[in-house]
Amino acid sequence: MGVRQIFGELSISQSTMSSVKVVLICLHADPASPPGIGEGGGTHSYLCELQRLYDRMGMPHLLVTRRAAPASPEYERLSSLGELARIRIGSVGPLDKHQLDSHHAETVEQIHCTISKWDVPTVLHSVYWNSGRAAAQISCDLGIPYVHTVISNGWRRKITGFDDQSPTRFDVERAVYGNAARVFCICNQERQDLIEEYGVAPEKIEIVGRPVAPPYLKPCRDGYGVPRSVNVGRH
Amino acid sequence: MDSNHLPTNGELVHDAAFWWNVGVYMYVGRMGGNKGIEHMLTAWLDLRKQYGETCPDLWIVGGSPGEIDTVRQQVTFYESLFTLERQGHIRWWGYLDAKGVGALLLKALVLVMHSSYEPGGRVVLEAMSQGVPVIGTPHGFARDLVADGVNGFLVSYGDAEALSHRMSHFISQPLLSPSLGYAAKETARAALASWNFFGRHQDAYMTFGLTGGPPESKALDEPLNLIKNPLPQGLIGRFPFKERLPMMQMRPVSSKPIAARLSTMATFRRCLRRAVPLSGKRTRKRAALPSNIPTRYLPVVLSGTRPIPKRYIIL
Repeated sequence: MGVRQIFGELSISQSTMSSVKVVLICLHADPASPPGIGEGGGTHSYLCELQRLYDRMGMPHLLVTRRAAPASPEYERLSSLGELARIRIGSVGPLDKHQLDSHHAETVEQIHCTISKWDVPTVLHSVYWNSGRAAAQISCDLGIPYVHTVISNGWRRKITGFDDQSPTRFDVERAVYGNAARVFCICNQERQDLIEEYGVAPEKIEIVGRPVAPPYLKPCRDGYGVPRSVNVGRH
Repeated sequence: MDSNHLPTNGELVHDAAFWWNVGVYMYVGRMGGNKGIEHMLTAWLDLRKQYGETCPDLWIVGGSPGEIDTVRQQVTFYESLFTLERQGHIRWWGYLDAKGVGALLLKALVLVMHSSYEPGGRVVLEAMSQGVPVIGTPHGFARDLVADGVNGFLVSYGDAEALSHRMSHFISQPLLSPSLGYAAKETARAALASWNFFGRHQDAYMTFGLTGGPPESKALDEPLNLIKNPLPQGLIGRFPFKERLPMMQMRPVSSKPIAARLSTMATFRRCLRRAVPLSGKRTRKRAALPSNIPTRYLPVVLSGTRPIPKRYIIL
């Protein structure tokens, strides 16, 4: 399967995009963790997909996440253009993502420190609400815009019966969505929630869905179209 | 077998000629409490009681050994589950990567996703892309993409009886899965094309990364009072970016993006292919080496995986 089939038609040239430097903030999901174990799920895959896009477009990028395991290094190079920084928020170890909000000041300080060692970003991209809060603050401090990806909203979770949320979540979310330059969501239900419950301007919302990895599109073939050997159980 | 009689799944199991056509019910995802795994197991056990050996097996993909064990111990019907596991009718595959899941989906009759809430639920999209119908709860992608009886079924969360009923369709109608699966694949293909995931992200970065964003994004006023905290004293005055620490020193020497460098190398390789053979007659067209290819790329290209035949020279 060719690169074009995976990415579709990209409209802007690589040389133009190489001047855009992105800092991607997602505190609760480490892209190095596999989806399907522990807290690893769609968000982890989403970060990997964005990283593929940045590499493809020649965009320098820095991923910032929380260091959740002592075995994970504080810094890793992901590619020639991509770096991953794991910042220390609270003690190193598992932490419920709903508690990250209570570490907001520490989070902002750590991200500022990390960015200062990296480069001057041109845009911030936050994923999930507590990362959005940090991005909004840093955006304000540095005078650069931020875009935000929602991935589940507090209002919908509440009416579905989840009661494990921070009491300030709804208000923080409203501010984060309201001040983001653009808001990405993944399905129509979420878009509707953002407009009706959070008062986000419809023209600012983009439904981006999710891409699908090549093994699902052509499960019997490898990237070159050759029948592949199936390696279930050998990883 | 009577030629006018479509075999049921149970008959297929016992007929060696059709063993390859026997599918399974499949779940892919985390072992979280909101994923409805217990409801799914309840529905499957009902079917098992009803249809016996005719009932397709259940394959559950995801989770670490510890998480799987926790889920198994939480269900109230642990004993019957344990027996069926030993007989191989329920299989816990644990974590598999995309290649592994893609391979297992080739055997799936239908994907069961019974979460209480999903913002998206990417497994729905992955299964549909592979031509596997979905029985889902009305959230996220399932709500947007699954149409009852067209490419799968929608069932309310917690309704094990309705789930069992929908799952039973795939036992009594052996051609239902490929039929719904074909429609599912078309739906997924159309959805992926309309979303344009990479293109939309790229547009946003382009717009706001280069222009600095729309005016409203800079008006961080009243709503952000909740967010805006003053910077800690130790950090004020350190910005912008006074310290350059090892992270920057590890960047590549060339500032040129890797894709651009590869593009240059591709041009160079094309020139090599067009180089003139020493002993051949095709000596009229001579390909010139572009002057902008730095000499430091030569060793890289020459030591590449594709050897250059000796009878060619570079002109």
